[in-house]
Amino acid sequence: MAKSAVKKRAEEEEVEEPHVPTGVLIRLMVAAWLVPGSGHFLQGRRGRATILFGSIISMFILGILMNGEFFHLNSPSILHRLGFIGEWSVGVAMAVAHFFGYSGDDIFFASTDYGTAFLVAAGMLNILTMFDSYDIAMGRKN
Amino acid sequence: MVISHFIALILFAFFVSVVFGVLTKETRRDCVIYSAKTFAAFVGIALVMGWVMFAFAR
Repeated sequence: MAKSAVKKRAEEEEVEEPHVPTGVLIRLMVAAWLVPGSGHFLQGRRGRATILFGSIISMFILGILMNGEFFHLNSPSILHRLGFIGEWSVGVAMAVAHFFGYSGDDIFFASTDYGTAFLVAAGMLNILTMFDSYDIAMGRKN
Repeated sequence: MVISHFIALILFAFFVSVVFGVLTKETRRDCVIYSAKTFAAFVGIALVMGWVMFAFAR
């Protein structure tokens, strides 16, 4: 048993990661950041990409419908600055929301706190999605 | 859009569970099972914690 485990581990260590050009990886990461799920889509995992896109964008839209707050980078609070990074992690959806005039200023709206949680969580999930597509590109995951 | 705490919890748990399932599992069956377990954990733990906090409410 122990012998086979050692043998299996040795075989795993022998497997080399495929060489992926850095430029390709950067383009993949930027695409995965801008449009949730596009990192998976570009690697042929279209079903997963659709589910990830739908889930993350749905969370973002729900956050906006609940009047979630948009954080600003020049805020004195470090938590607000982290929130800014979290919200912008969702990619081009933030820019689209700004383009259509959503400013997220009404912090006294009843469900604003929930909306803010949805907006930040959507960005965080998109970061996980980016890392997952990176792992797939590096051959660490099927 | 104003929704209740519980509906917000359900929606949040659903979408996060789906993403977790898709990212961590390979087969469709494993994805569904893991997502369902994560969803149940989200909702169940929130309800338990809610009742625990209610017990210690002033």
